[in-house]
Amino acid sequence: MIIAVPIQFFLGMALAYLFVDTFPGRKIFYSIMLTPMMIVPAVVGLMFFLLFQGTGPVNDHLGLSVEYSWLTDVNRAMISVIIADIWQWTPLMFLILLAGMLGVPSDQLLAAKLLGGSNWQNFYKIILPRMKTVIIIALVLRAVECFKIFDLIFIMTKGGPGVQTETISVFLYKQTFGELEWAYVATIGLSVLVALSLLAVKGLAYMAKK
Amino acid sequence: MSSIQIENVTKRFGDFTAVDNLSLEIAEGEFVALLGPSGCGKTTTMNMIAGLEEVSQGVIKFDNKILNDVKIQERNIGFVFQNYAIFTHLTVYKNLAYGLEVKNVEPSQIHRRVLAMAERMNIIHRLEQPAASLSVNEMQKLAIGRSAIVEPRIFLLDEPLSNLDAGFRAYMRAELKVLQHEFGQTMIYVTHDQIEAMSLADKIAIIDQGKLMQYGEPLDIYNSPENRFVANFVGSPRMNLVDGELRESNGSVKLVAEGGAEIFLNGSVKADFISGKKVSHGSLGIRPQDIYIGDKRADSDIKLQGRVDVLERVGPKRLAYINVSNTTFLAFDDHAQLDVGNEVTFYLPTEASMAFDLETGNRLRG
Repeated sequence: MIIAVPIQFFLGMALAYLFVDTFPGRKIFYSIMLTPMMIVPAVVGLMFFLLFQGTGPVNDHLGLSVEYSWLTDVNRAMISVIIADIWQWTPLMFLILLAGMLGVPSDQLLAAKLLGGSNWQNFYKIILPRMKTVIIIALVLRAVECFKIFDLIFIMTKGGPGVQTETISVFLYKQTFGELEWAYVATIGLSVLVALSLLAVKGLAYMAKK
Repeated sequence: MSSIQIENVTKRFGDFTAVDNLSLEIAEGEFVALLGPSGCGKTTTMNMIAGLEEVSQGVIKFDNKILNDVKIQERNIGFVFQNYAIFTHLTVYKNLAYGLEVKNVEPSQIHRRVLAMAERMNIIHRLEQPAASLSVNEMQKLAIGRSAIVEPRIFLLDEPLSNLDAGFRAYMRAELKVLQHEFGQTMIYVTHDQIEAMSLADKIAIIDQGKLMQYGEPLDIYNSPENRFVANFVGSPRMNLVDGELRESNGSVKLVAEGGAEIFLNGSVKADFISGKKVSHGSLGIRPQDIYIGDKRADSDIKLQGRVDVLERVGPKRLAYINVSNTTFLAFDDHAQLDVGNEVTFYLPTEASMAFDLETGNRLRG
C-alpha cells in the first residue's frame, strides 16, 4: 500500500489541477470522475476479479493468452489489487485536493502570474504550501484506509497467492475464523489501532501547528 | 516604461458588452485614471491590458507592438489588486522577492533590491514577519513594492485605496503621486472615486456602460464636460442639471422642467441651445458654486426664485437645496443668510451654464 497511496496522491493532484479551471463539460467529467468512489468496495472487488480472469477482458484487450494469469500470479496479484484500489480511491484524493486547490485565493495566483512566475513555479511556491493542511488530511485518511482494506482483497485474491496480497485485515480475518487465535488477533488489532492513532495524531498535530 | 495604445477594443461576455469600441492612447510616463460608476467596464479594460481577460475585438499595443496574444507572464506588468493579493503564507521578505526569484535573479541582487524596496516603502522593520500579520496600510505598501521591484513596463492599480481608512487614503494618494514620479512609470489607475482621479491623474478617461465618455486632463473635464453624463458624474457637490422641454416664442426661449419650473434662457447658453442643432428637449447644467444669491451681477444672468428646503454643511460653507416648482437647485449660501423655509431669489450666470441635448446627452455649443 506504500505504492498505492502516492500514486493516488499524484494522480489526484494532477486531475485536481486540470479541474481548477473551467472547461466545457467540466461538470459531466466531474461526476464521472467521482463514480468509482461511490461503488461498494465489494462490488469493485468482484468487478476487478472478473476483469482480471484469464478469459477476462483485460487479457483479451492486451492480446494475452488465457493462461496469462493476474490474480493467481505471485508478482501480478499485488499489481492487480493496487490497480483496483487506485481506480476506486483516486477520486477521493482528487475531491479533497480539488477542494484544497480551489481554496487558494485566485487573485494571489493571478498576482504570482503577473509577477512572471511560470505555472510550475506558482504551483510549487503558492498553491502547494497553501494546501499543506488538506494534503495531510488526504494522506492520513488514505493511509488509514489502506491499513484496513479488506473487502476488495478478500474478494479478488483472498490474500493469495500464498500471502502475497494478505493485508493486516485479511490476516486478522484468517487468524480469527481459520485458526481461532483470539488473543493473538486481539493483540494485533489493538496494535494496529495504536499505530494508526499515532499516525493520525501526528498529522493533526502538524496541522495544528500551521 | 511603455506607452499604451488601445484601439477599438470591445469585450463581450455572452450577450453582454462590457467594453464597447474603446480607444485610448496613453503616453510614456503618463498617469491615467479610468473613472466611472461600478460595472462601467473600467476594471475589464484594465484586465484586458494585463492579459487577465481576452480581447473580443480590437487591439492593445505596448509601444506600438500588438499584445493581444502575449502571455500574462511575459507582459511584465505591475498590478496592484484591490485587496492586494498578498501571499499571506509567506514572509514580507519572500513577498517582495517573489517576482525576482521566479526570474532567477541572483540571490545577492535579490537581497539588495528587496532591502532597498522595503526601505523605500517603509516596511523594513517588518521584513521577517509573516505577511498575514501586516495591517491593511502596510499590505498596501507591500503590494505596491512587490510590483514595483520587478521594474514593470507599466503599472496598473485597481482601486488600490478603497480599503484604506480615510486618513491613510489621503496620505497614500500623495505617496502614489510621489512614487509615480520616482519610478517615472506609466500608470493606469481604476477608480470610481472622482476625487482620487482628479487629484492623482495627468489624464482621466471617463467610462460609462463600456463606452468612453471623455478623455482629457482633469481640469478640462471638470470645466468643460463633453456630455451630460460627465457633467453629472464629475464634481462634488454635483452639477445642477435641469431637464426640460425647450419652448420658443417671440424670440424668447424657455426651458420648462417636468415639475413646471420655467427657466428663461439668455446670453450664451441661449445661443448654445438654439443656434446649432435644433433639439426639443434639453438639459441645462450649472455648478452650485456658480449660482449666486443677492444682487444681479450681469444683465444676461438668469433670475430664479424658490424656497429653501434643506441647508447642509459642506466644510466651512453651507449648501442650500432650493426648490423651484419641484426642481431642486443646489447653491452655496456664502454669507449664511438663509434659513430653511425662506423664499430666495438667485441667479444663474449664463456664461457658466452649459447646454446638453437630453436625447443624446451631447453638449450643445452655439
